[in-house]
Amino acid sequence: MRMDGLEHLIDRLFGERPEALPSADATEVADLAAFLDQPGRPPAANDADPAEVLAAWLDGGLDGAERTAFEVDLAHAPDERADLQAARSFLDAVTAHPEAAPADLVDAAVATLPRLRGGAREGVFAAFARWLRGRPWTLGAVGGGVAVAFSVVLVVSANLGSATTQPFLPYKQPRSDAVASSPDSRDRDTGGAAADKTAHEPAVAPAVAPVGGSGGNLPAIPATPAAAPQAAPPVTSASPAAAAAAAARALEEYRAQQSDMLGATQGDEPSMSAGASAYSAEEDPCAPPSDSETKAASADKSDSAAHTHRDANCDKGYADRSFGSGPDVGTAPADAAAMPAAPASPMDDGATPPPQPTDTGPH
Amino acid sequence: MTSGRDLAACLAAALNGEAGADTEFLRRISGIVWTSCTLLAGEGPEARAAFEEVLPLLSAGGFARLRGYKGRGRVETYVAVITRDLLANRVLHLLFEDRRRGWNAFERFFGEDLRRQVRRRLNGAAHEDLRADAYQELCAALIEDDYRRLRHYTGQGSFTGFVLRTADRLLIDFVRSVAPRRRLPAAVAKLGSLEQDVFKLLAWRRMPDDAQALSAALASAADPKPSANAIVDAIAAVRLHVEGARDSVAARGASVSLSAIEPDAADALIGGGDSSPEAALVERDEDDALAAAAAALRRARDALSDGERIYLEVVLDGGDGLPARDIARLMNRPVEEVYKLKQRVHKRLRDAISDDPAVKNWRASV
Repeated sequence: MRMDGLEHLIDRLFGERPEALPSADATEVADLAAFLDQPGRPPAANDADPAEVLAAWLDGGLDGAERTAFEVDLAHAPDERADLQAARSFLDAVTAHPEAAPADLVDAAVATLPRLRGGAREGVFAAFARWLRGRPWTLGAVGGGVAVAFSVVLVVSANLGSATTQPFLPYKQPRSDAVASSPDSRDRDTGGAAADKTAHEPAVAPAVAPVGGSGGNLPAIPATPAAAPQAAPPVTSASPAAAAAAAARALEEYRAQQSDMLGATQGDEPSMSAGASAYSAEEDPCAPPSDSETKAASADKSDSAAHTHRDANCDKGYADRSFGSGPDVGTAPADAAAMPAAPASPMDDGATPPPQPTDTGPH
Repeated sequence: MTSGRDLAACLAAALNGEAGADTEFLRRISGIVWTSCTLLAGEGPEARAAFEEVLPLLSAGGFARLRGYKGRGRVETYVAVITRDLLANRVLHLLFEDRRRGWNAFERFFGEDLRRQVRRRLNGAAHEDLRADAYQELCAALIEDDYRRLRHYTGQGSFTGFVLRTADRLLIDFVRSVAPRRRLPAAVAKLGSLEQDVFKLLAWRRMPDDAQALSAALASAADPKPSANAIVDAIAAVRLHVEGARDSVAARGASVSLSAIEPDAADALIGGGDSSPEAALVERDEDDALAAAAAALRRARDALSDGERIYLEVVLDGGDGLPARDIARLMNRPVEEVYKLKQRVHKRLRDAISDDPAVKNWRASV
């Protein structure tokens, strides 16, 4: 591409002479895109639910400042732009091709709601009761044991005071004062260790499982500051400890499997074919090690340690995103009264939507 | 079991644990979740399997996954976006659990997006043959080495965005390698501008050597508009070179592995194989010019406002000929505003090229 060729390309791209040639040349556009390619900037360090922000932006629901902040991120994050475009197409297709879910699947899902809502705790106790019924001689011993355990809990709680009111805060989970000060949210807003614990001690499980941080060394999803000041819905009997266990189990499975995947995610440069690529390794702390890095790491244990540190951070980020794009359960939304009415939707209630453009693909 | 309340109120009730609210909410969003599954996971059993996996994740803990809703958009949009995220995670999970099923799920989820990217990078009838090859090569590159490229996803940003950007970079490589940077053959470069434009249309865009057809394409490129006779003469002057250039394109083959492309090998195919010292000198000058111009463009891009920058990136992401209407929709802005952005960005980039000291130095040297 010659200098004047580049100028002509810019002209064609921006349409000053749109009819100069049938179309801009694919290779020249690709060249220009490659020259201007940049490492993607990590997502902005805020605690907003990215899915909520994306959905709000797509619906035109962000106010001026929110929109500006979102677009600043967008301008510097090629991945997010790509995701945005795909999300737009996907939503177009969802609107254009609505389908009612098969009744049997919906009924089956409805049937599982009690278990997901709170049935697990009942199940545990029911199973325990059944076990006891078959062993009447153990009732006395178990009763005594429960009494002793209860006494120990009371004594320990009295000694530790308020410090024990949030014993299982998730790793690195920021907490707003509003949320932290809410007795209800204290009950709900427990994280990874709590959920792990609930697997074995369902009676002391948090009311609602953390979306992002219920297991292992994986961090929980940070609370959403913007949502924190909102009133927390009261804890009801419909959100008991078993809900935490059920939600944690459902999410834990994915996370565990994805964490396993990460164990093998070491390799060379992530993109671009080696020979033809105009791109260089990105200055991304979470970028995978290059071949040379890998070789150096083999020869130098200190390098290896550095990679291990980096990988640990990256794994954490992976877990954050994979299961953490949602908000923390401690950041309760406004209650029904405070929640603004959303625009009417053709998708709501399975109503037949008005005709929609069908030029988009399924995604 | 539908009450008169809107979906946002229904969600709030479900989150608050009101009796029956979760059942009502589940039923009301089931259509969105199902539609999402059929679009992204496939028809029939795959859609059912996806639905059965995703819905419990959504409804667990009294729909705790949806607690982020703040009422800034429609609940339906939020549910669809969350469902899409969960389905993307499912694809990632399947890829490494069951390669075949995982790839099918991957292609179903991303196929349309990848094809759209291919269409954008290789637009028009001239690239029809290449598009199918590009898609196949793209898929092969993603599968290669047990999904090596996909394994590089670290969790920063969305998996969807990561995949699509990786794919776009692969496509850029493909385009630049299969249809590498084109240079006029030295003999054509010595001819007049009309002959050069005619050569580009015939050799690079594979237009028929019909004066009437070329006349329309050249109408706004040349001032004054060339006569039919002049075009006929130009066709005659470049015909020999056109055939050579087309042969060289054909010789590159229909399919070039993304992993096997060597830039030097590709460059050897450029310009009809002219490897004379004079051509080498011209090539070096062009590379210098390109480097200077690219640096100027990068500086200009960095100086753009965020809105202008998004516009530029969307145009470049869009490849070839993304209409302003589509750009406006992608940017959530009125078309009128997009036209203003277009003018501003275009002017700033042109100014950057013409005012940049490095570019001026290069121009002064030739």
